[in-house]
Amino acid sequence: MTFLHPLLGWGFLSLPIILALYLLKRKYEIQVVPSTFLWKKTARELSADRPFQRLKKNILLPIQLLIAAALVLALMQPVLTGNVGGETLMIFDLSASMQASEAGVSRLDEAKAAAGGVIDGLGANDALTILAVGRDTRQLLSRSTDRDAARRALNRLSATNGDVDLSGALSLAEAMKKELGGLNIIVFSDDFVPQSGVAVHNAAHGAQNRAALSFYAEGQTGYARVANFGDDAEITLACYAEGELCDARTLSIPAGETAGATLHVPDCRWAYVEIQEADAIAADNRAYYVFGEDTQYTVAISEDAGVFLESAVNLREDIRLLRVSDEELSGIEADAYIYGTDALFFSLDAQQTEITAAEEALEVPSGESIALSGADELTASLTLKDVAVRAYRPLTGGRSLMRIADHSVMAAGERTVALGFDIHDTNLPMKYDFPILVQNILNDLLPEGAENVGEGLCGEGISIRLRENGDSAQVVLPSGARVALDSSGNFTQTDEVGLYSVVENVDGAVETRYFALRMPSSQSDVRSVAPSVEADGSSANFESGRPLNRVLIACALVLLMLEWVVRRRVA
Amino acid sequence: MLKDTFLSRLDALRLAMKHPAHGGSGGMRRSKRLGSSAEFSDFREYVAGDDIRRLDWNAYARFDKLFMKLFMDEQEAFVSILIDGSASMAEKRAETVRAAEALSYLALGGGDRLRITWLGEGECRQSALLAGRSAYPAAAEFISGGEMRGRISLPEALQKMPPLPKGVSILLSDGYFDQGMGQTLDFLRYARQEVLLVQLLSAQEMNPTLQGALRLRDAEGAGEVDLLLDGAALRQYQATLHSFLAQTREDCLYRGAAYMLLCDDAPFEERFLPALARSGMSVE
Repeated sequence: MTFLHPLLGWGFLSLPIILALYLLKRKYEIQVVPSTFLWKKTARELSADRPFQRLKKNILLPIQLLIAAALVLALMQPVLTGNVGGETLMIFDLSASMQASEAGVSRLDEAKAAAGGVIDGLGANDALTILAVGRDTRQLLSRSTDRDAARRALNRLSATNGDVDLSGALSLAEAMKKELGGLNIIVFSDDFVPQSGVAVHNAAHGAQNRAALSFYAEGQTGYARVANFGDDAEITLACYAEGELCDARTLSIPAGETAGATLHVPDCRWAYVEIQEADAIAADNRAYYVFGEDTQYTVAISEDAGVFLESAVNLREDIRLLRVSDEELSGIEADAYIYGTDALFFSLDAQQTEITAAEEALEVPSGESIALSGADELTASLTLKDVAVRAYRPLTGGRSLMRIADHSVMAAGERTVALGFDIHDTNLPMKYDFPILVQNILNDLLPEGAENVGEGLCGEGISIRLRENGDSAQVVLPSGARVALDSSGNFTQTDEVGLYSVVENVDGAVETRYFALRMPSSQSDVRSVAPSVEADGSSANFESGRPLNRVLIACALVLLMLEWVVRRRVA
Repeated sequence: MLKDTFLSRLDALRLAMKHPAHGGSGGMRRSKRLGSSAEFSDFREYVAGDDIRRLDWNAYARFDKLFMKLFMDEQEAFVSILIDGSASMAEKRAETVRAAEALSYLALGGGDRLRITWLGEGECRQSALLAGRSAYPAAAEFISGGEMRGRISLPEALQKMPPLPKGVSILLSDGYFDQGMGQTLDFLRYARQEVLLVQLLSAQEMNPTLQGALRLRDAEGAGEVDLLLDGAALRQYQATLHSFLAQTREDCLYRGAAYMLLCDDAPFEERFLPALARSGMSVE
């Protein structure tokens, strides 16, 4: 046991003072009376009537001394210390799952309460460091012995809506441990895998949660997917168009399964589906869809293009692929076309004429390899390391971007970009360079609009492509707060779940566009109970300290009442 | 000495006795013997030698026969005034003296013989035998000369006294005796005394105004008692007092003694006669 304010122990001097006052108070004034005959009888009757009378002298003084002692001890704030002392580092997991409410208390609140117990149990000279791990790691308290500051730091903690990575904080903890020696590391988390030398407060006890995983609309039909991270349940899913209820469905979803629902969505700029039943995490009960205007590109792609190419193109969420045969290609209305077998063309025209490929394929000479012709936006970030090409057809037209033995094998025109080899004759699709190359080409031909965001995840920075002729831009958060955007369009305040709006001044007019951010679905599954033992099997739990001042104050009150009862009975 | 106006009111009264007097002749109390008083008792036939002054001539005229008128004899009673001279009476000394003087005056005015006794610690001081109103100043002087100090036990003090002749004993005391008044009254009854107990209490004893934490020390040296005198304690005292007074009255009633309570909470002259009347010890 330790005392947080030992200097207040001077208060014990009140005990002899009370004793002295008591003794002085008990001095009787002598009064001579003709006879004590009747007074003795009176005293006997009083004693007989009041059993407490006889005890009065014996009880009141010790009671009063005990009251004073209890109050002085309470002021000294005695604490039963836990097994945590010296230097202590607390690491708080602020991931979205820490919002999960179990028995009315969120995991983070439970963790904060446990941490409060640890703080109560620290000795007067024990230092505490607090790290909060959200999107990034923040140091809220650094080796402080100030309990009030520690509690204030705890109060400032709030769960984010995103994923977190505790590894950075643990690395920092390990570095501190090496520097300080006996550092107690306590992680307050709900999915931390115990490690040797790290105590864990496991805030996860298993909770029932449902999440709206996604919502997509095409025309007036919305497609929603809902996951049930709990027991078998019937879930009511309501659809709102710009806040107005427009449709609802009841879904029976077995435990651990997902289910889809089709809902009617009227013409609107944005809509969302919402799970009506309360569950562990409220933040994942909504999924938004923002209708884009001219944001959806349709790209016709030859059905022989192959899965690698399709996957690379699909990385652009604003592109809808239409797989067609080469014969059908010219009859399809699309924003761009990807076709060709011996050579691959990315073109805005179904039949481009800017760039032509040689009729005859050439073998790559011995000792030659594919190489960049020079720096260009289309080949930015490409290395072409270990890329091999079996045969190629030299390209004519456009500017050359890649070469093999002085032959252009990648060329770019105004409306077309061509690769002078069959992608089945090269290992390029299996290299990191391939999706980069495809995205570079698509970005050149089909530049992403300002509505490029559409939907994203909380906690991740996003890049908003601003209008070229815009004067200023702001992002209005779901909470209503406004954040100015600089010309780069990089936006990092993505902690809130919900609908964001981008407000721009374009040629004197205000244009508003929307995007929505949601919780990562990995955070929605809060069924699991994290283990709370160390990797070596030993218990990783810690004992919290227990402040005794409340107990002492309660004792003082009880004694005060007892003293009052005794006084009342004898008076 | 009592005021003359008060004494003149006492002139109309005398002490009442339940039983006939057995004192010497010449008194004013009716005795069992037939005598020369004016109070008619009976007739009997004349026999030779009878005092012809007592022949009833009216009866002779009517019946032609001589009848003698018989009259009650009147004798004096013997009255003892016994004063408790313990220290507890000191506070009530003035009241005691006044009561003793008034009773002495009544006894002397009633033609009784009177002896006053101060019952003190270890000794009894007795006055001479007094008779007639003219002896009142001497009685008052003896009464006022008495001392009140120390502790006494009334039964022991009475036993040490010379035997009391049959008569009336008036005992003035506060009655503060552990054994109560029963033993004392029994002793006086055994001594063929018709008893009047005059219990004297001060206003402070009847309605104490003491307050706070007090160590009450007995004036007779009977020890001390510590008390926190608050409302409840004083209420308990009143209950104890009333129980004590009721017990004393009951002791008197049980033994055929008259009882009179005097408290100095009002002028003596206003309280004495009503209290005496209530006790049944006065007749006009």
